[in-house]
Amino acid sequence: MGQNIIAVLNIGLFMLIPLIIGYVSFKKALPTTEDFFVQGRTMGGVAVFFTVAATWWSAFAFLGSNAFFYTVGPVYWTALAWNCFFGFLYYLIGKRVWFYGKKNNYITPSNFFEDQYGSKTLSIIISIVMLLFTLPYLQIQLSGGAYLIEVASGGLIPFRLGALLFYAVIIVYVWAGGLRAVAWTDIFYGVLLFFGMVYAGFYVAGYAGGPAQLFQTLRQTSPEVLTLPGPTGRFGVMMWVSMFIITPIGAFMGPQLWTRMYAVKSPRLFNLMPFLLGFAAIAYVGSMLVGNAGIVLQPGVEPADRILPVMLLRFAPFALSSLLLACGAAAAMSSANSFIHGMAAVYTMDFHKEYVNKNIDQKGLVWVGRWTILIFALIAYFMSIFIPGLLVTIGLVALSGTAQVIVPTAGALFWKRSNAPGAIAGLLTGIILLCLFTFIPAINPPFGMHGGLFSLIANAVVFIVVTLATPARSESLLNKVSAEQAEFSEKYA
Amino acid sequence: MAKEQKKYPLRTALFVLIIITFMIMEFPGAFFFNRIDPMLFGLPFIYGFNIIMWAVMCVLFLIGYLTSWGKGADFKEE
Repeated sequence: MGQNIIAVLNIGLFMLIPLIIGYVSFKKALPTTEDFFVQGRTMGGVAVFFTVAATWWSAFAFLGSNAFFYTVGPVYWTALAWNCFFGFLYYLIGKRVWFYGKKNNYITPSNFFEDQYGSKTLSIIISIVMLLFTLPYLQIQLSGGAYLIEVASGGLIPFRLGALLFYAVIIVYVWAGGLRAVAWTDIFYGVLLFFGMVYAGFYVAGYAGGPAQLFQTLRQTSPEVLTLPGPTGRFGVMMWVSMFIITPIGAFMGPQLWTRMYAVKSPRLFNLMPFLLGFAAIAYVGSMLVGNAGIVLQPGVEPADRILPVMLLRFAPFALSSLLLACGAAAAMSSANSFIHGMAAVYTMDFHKEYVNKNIDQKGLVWVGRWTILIFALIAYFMSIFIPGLLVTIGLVALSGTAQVIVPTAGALFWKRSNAPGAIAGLLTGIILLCLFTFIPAINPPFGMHGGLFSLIANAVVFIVVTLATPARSESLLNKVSAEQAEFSEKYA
Repeated sequence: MAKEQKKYPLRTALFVLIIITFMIMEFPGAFFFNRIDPMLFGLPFIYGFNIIMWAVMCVLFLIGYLTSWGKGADFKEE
């Protein structure tokens, strides 16, 4: 009991440090939407890398990955490739989005679509899609963090109270410091979670005789866990490919990453991000080792998302396990803060300013953003209580939703013939199919692929067909788009 | 008359190699490496092979950065 209380105090300390950072960033804050939502487009290199990486790595990665290796085989190992893909997207698309954002003063994703396609309707649909599908992803962060607190405290702090604590801490510092607070705390969180993921894996694998002995054991006792489709038979090659496509695209298209594209100070950083983000993928070795070691050392843990905290508490010295669990909490918190902030930006600028109060001043908008942070987090809190499910399972649905936005984004950046009717038709097709696959179990996508991937393909096909069947964008708009694309090509790599 | 777009052979080569590497790591590569043997670095082949390809990808990305993604190391961005 005493040790569990000390573990809780350790986790409390790792929540206190961000509050201090949040206070410091609050002192630098300006009462403008540009400062609160995109840090005045002045975010430097270190902050950009860590806030992108920490936002990208969430409870989905820290806890969910271990659970997947533990229960369904090696399919999550496609994460090495998807991390590289995510980094490459940040260069290929992120740099262009940054450029257009700076040139045209965009704050939210919908600003981009309204300006590039000349369509208010499309921008509203995208805002709704982003809000609806980011909410479940926010939910799993609160769930992941609450699991950690409950396990670490030996039940002293139950799940519901743990989720509430997470919610409260995030609200305070995001409220105070906006994106600056989020980015600075993410530097702290990013270092913790990278260290935590790698160290936990090698530490736990040591109890199975080290990685080589671990896999020799599994080879003898459970060879089905070492190849696709894994022990359940449901996670084969097509799921490997589906997750590779959906996960990075879905995360990349969330409002939290859009603000991080707009906020960057120097374009040169985009050139380096593929290498940095790709290199950081090696942290998944830790999850791979934890999940596989769990099969040998601690079979039968339910729900499987708890395998890491359960094993740490059993095998690691107390001080180490509470530190590593705090790293897990860091993963969840560093993502949750970004999602809440990104969603608040979308509601405040795309809905409140446009439809509730057109005459509101900058200071008023910042306050609307703050209250929105509170409300969205509260909704996610109740979802975490009443809608259970494996973190990766829920996460894939959420990512599949936001992933649909890549089609009109790529269309705007690389295909001058693209237009709003095509974008709208494709987007609605993808979303409707995704909802059908998610809520009606009898309807399954073909070839064993994830419903999100099939929806994305359908989205792209409909986008192309409807675009070609409808008139192109206006000449004046196309001239503007062409001029901007030419300027980008000339000035940037 | 439209301004002629400059060609960057190194950029094209980099993008082609990156796409090929992704194909090896995903599709159709998954059909090849989905096995236990031979073990690499003490890990099943599916794990060890992907670590090697990850390293290849990191090298490609580093070359991309150092050459301003094919526009040459001397290219100056604003």
